[in-house]
Amino acid sequence: MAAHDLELAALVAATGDKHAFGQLVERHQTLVRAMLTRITGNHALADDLAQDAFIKAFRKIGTFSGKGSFKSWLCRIAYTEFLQAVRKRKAALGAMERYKAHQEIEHSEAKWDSGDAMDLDRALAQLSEVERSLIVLCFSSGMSHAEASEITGLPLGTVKSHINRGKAKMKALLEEKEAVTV
Amino acid sequence: MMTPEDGFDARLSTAFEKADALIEQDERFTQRVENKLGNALNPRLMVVGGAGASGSALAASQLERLAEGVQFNNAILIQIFDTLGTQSIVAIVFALMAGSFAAVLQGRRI
Repeated sequence: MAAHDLELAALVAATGDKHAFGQLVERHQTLVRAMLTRITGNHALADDLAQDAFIKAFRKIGTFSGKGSFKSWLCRIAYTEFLQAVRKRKAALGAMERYKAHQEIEHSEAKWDSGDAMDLDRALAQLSEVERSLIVLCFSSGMSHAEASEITGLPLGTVKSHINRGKAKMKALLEEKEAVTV
Repeated sequence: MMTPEDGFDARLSTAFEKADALIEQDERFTQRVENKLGNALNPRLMVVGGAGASGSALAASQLERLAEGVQFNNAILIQIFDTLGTQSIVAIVFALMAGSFAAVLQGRRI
């Protein structure tokens, strides 16, 4: 039977076992990479940030109290990595802005389909950074509003407002696209 | 009763589910992270290690003076002291201190 996240985290904290941590990486890498891909809109940048986030998680694993889920703790580290990258790496931010601009001028004739990742990313690119991050945390990573509040450090009421505003924008964008393509 | 908002939430969740499914499990990613863990030098560990080593060196430099002033009553200790000499004993004590320090650091993530 596969060990629970908490057991593996405790083992890593006690012994520094890299292979046990490898199991945690294997288990959560798609969640973290998907979250960062949707937030940054850039696969390569997301993978770099995800890698840094896992390395930081390994170093800080002793601070994981086990009160919340390991997934939520990890997402918090990944989100912090993203914020730090945005603040510190001007080049990364420039790449994101260029990508966003590219998204804005790019037109597609295809009708919006819920399975179309490109269209989803295009709609996400229209949101503010905070709205996008919160929508991704709640709809992609499966976090509750309370968990998203803890991860981003924003008050719960603010989180709900941003999510509602983000959803409304996305709904309008997607409906507008559908109206054009019908 | 399902509201229009609930309907859009479900649609959005499905959209993310399908988009995220395109991001596949990557064994090389796990491997890269594991390799980086082996090579990663923790800056705090280096600072603490450096400070500890400097402290040990300073302490050891005082040991020789301390050892010279000590008078042993035990015949075995006197014999060991005479055979090895002050410098060798200080070197051994210093090695033990450095070894203990390394052993402690190895098992701890700072």
